[in-house]
Formats: sequence, structure tokens, C-alpha cells
Amino acid sequence: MLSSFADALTHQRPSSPFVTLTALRTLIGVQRHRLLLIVALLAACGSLAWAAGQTRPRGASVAIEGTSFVPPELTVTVGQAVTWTNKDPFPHNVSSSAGKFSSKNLEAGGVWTFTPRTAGRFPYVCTLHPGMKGTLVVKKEK
Amino acid sequence: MNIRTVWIALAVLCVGSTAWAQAPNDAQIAAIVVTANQVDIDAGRLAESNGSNAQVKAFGKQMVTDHSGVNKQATDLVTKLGVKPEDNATARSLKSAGDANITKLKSLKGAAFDQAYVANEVAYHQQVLDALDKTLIPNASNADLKALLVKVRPAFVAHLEHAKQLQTSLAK
Repeated sequence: MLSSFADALTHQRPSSPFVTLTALRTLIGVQRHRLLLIVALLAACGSLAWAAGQTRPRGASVAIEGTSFVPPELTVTVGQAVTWTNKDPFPHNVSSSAGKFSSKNLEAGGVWTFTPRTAGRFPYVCTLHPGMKGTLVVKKEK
Repeated sequence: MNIRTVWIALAVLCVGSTAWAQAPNDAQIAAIVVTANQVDIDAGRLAESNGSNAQVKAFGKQMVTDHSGVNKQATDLVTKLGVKPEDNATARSLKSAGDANITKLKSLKGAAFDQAYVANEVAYHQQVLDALDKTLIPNASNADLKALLVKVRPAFVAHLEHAKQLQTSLAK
């Protein structure tokens, strides 16, 4: 492949601005079938990656701000990680009312991730601030 | 211009200037917010050290943490905005009431301290919420300052609720 590129180059006037363009065209022309194969492979890889992304859902998230959980109710599937981020300037925590999960106190900017392993409806609170409530709804994997 | 017009103009000016005098500007609001937080931080520190009930001490400690966090956020914002907190009558009155509360609490011990501290926390947080709703939020002109006040309001509601729950359990 490279030798035909070199040939294409040497057949041109060295000072011409079209040298590289013509050489490139020659290269593509000669190696078109190989180029098409590479493009097809890349497209296939890209599609596989996208498809993989679709079947394995990305993590879900809850923001802790204004002394509340946003969104107040989040639905995920079993095995899908949930991340809580404390965006308030003081600590909060995430504590399941039934004792199923519990973060330690999260400082301002603190992050906590939990991956539910069972389906169900899980209300939770921040034990530091009465009235601060959220619900995690976990559906079975399809 | 007849005399009636003059009287009307004076009346409007009086009402208008009274309203103006009562409505704080952003610099004054900043001073009120910082003072209000500091008053509760000071009381919280005293409860942490002098409180006798474990929940009262823990509440005091949380007041220090929460109000310090809010103060830092408020101070960072006004610094960023180039607003210098401006002392005013409301801030001074909060400070002097806060000082009087500290003096009174220092003279108390045990359950009497706990009950007095918590009773004051209930009244104080109610007062701060009223000020937020009637004066501070409506009069904040900078959008970021207003947003900060709106965002911290639920924390004070939670503090008030917590203080009321404590008050009930201490009364048992």
C-alpha cells in the first residue's frame, strides 16, 4: 500500500499543491476495498458499543439539594446503581425507613452509590432533617 | 400647585419613605443572614457543651454545622457579587436578642438549660422563617441571592420541626 503511495508522490511535480491530494486519491482508488472494509468494521464496533450501552442501563442519580431529594421518587431496575450527590452546604444522609440501606452522613459535595439487589418500593429519609423524604422504586430486570 | 396637592404629596412621601426604610437592600439582607446564622451557631456551641440531654447536645452540634455551612455559602456568594454586608437595625436587634439568650442560658443547668435552649430554638427558627418569607426573599434584588435564600428555607423548616419534636420529648 505504502509503495503505491510513494509512486504516486514521485510522479508529481514536487512543488505542486495538488501533490498530496492526488496521491491521496490514488491511494484511496487503489485501496478502496480495504478502506471500505475498515469503515465497515468501525461502524460495526460502534453499533455494538451503542447496543451494549442500551441493554446495560447507566447509573441513575438523585441530587440532594434545598434539603430535599431530587427527584423525590426514582425508578430503577435490580442491579442498576443509584448515586446520591449532596449539593447542599451541610450534611445529609440517605436512610431506608425499613433499614434496607443507609449511607453515613454525607458532607457538602459528598457522594454515595447503592446498587439494589431486590425489587420493591423503598421509602427513605435523611435522619438529620425531619420531613426530608424520598422513594426508590426497584423493578425486576426484564 | 394647591395646598391639597402638597398634603397628598407629603402623605405619599411619608408612606413611601417608611416602606423604603423597612425594606432592606441586598447588602443589608446579607448582614441579616450572616448575623442570623451566627446567632444560632453561638447558641448551638453552648448547647453542645452545656446541654445535659444527649439529643439536645446533638441538635446543638447540628445547628453549628448547618448554619456554618449556610453562612459560608452566603459569604462566598456576596463576596463573588462584590456586595459588602451592611450593618442595620434588624441585624443589630437579632444580635442583641441572641446575646441576651446566651446570657440567660449560661445561668441555667441540666433540664432547665435543655428546655430553655430548645424553646428558644423553636421561637428563633419561626422568627427567621417569618423574616425570610416577609422581608428577605421578597426584597432580595440579586437573583443568585434570592435563589440562595429560597434554597436554604427548607433547612430552617426542618430545624424548626426538629426543635419542636425535641421540645415534646423533653416535656415527657
